[in-house]
Amino acid sequence: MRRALLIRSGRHVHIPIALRPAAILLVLLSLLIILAFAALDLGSTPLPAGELLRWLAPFIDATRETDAVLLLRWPRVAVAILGGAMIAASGHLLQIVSRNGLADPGLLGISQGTMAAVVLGAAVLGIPPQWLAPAGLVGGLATAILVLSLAYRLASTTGLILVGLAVSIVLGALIEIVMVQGGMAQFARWLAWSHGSLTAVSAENARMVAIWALPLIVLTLLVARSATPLLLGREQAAAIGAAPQKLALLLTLLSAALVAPIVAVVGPISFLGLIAAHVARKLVGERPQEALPVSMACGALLLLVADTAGRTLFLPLVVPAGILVSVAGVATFLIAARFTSSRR
Amino acid sequence: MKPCSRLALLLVFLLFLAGMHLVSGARFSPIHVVTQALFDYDPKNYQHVVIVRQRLTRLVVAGYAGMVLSVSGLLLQKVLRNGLVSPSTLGINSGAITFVTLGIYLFGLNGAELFWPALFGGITATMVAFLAAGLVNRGNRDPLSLVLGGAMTATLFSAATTFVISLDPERFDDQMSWLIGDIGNFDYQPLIWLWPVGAAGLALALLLSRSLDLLSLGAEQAASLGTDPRLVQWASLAIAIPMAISAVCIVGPIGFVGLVAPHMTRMMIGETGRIPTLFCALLGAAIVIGADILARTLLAPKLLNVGTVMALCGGVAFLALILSTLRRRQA
Repeated sequence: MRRALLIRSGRHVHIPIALRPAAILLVLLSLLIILAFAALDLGSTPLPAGELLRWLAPFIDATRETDAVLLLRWPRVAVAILGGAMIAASGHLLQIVSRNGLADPGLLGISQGTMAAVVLGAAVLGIPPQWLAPAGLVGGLATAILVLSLAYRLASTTGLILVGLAVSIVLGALIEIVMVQGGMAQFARWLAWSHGSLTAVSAENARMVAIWALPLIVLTLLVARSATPLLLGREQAAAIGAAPQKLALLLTLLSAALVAPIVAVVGPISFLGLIAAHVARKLVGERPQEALPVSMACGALLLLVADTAGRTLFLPLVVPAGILVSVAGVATFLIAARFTSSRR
Repeated sequence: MKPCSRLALLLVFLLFLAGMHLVSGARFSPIHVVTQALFDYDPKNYQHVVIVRQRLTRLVVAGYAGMVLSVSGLLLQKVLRNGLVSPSTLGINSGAITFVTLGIYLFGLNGAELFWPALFGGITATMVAFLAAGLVNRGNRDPLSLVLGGAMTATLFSAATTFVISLDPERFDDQMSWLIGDIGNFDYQPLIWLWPVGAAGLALALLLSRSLDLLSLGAEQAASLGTDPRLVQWASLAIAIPMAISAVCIVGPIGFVGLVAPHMTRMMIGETGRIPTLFCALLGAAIVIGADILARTLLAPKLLNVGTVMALCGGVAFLALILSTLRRRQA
């Protein structure tokens, strides 16, 4: 029996809240808030905590230096939190759709598809910056449908990943044609972006991401519950009255939409979705309506920690967040692959 | 048709491609100018200089890289009995590149000296790939898990490479074309030092081909027929890795020749005996030379990179191979 808290209001509204997931989510969110404070505070110019609180308070003006320093930091922190949550949600949805614990937008080539559309759109077609994210969405969605339909008939966990890998190699070559047009400094910047880096995030970017993030995150939380039948497999899901094809298409679209703005701003952060979804499932179990929010919180935490550690721990070196995440991700992937294949 | 005559046919085709390579480019050179440049070189004639100094050196480098990488791929595929492995899919290329960038950054090495860090990187990457594959795989030997391990290794090392480059991009200014696998005008200089590696590797691969054929019957069968399976396995790895590394040092990561050429060889003339090894070497050379012609002419006067062209074509071939492996296993 699961312990649950039942919220009643009047005769018709009953909201059962499972206690364990709610408690875990609460802990994760408070950790996230503490870490966000720390991330705003840490950096090559240390700020006294009082100054930070003064900056955050609504009606008191902080000193000009604090303002200047925090203008550089808050977009990074905001994008790390929102981006981490979105990538994690996208990875989790893809794992539900493909019924494959190894799925991740970076590993299925969706991020690369988005990236190719963004790069080619910007460099070849001259699309203005505010339209890059929608262009990326089209690219990512096309790649997602291509990879998932190629691997659809092949019931193999590793097969899907390898198909995604091959598609990303071809897309990577397309991106490379554009990447080498500038000099080496330009190439190094592209290279850092192609692993995911929050160094160049501006306040403008943060606003753009926020505009995409809020409706998408709400939508994800709303559809989470209806994704549950997909966990049973297509035939079973159809048997209990869900429309698996339609649902899978919708969720794939949603997961492509979730990564598009992040890839456009930060670059593909592979493995983040994979790690977050696995941690979340270990913590609260399979049910999407409980696991998805937890995995979003985990993703936000992970990206925030990776970015803050990358820019503070190894000073004067700055390690892009994507690199730290990939290193942690490869290890998680291998362990996850072992357990996923033994379950089948 | 006998295998020997197919080999001769391929040789003729290779010579034809080489001729095409010398003739074509940003500016077309007539055949008589090319022959004149080759046999009666005039250093004051601009066209002669372009043909000999730029196109001929490129041709030699491309041919060498293709030959060495495809023989290395053939050895790896035979000894691991896995049609999806090659220097690039095992992560050997990425490992070598990481250690080369480290060598440049920390010790300021250049030219043929980079062979040693690259070799070390290649061996490290192979070990990591096997370790990763062992983690993914539990007992039953799945050909896909080794490729998955290799892909993870490549991801890891490419993250490391990006990090090293981001430390000081200016220092790697000259290396950009190398980092993405392009043949530059001065690439023949390390080749002068490194060609013995490829030549010795090819000779040893020809010597080993009989034992490798026996090994493909299974380790026990091979042992009862008088070969030492462990020795053959280690020897072919010891040949395949330095060969691939010698190409990576010269041209950078040109992937997929090592994967595709052995498969085409198998389809055209089978895989037992010495002739397929030679055939595979020539075919690999032909593929890279062909890719170089495409890279120089597709968007002329702009140049594409050979590595990019190979990744575009090879990625599609890789996809087809994975899909067919999966289909076959399902059937």
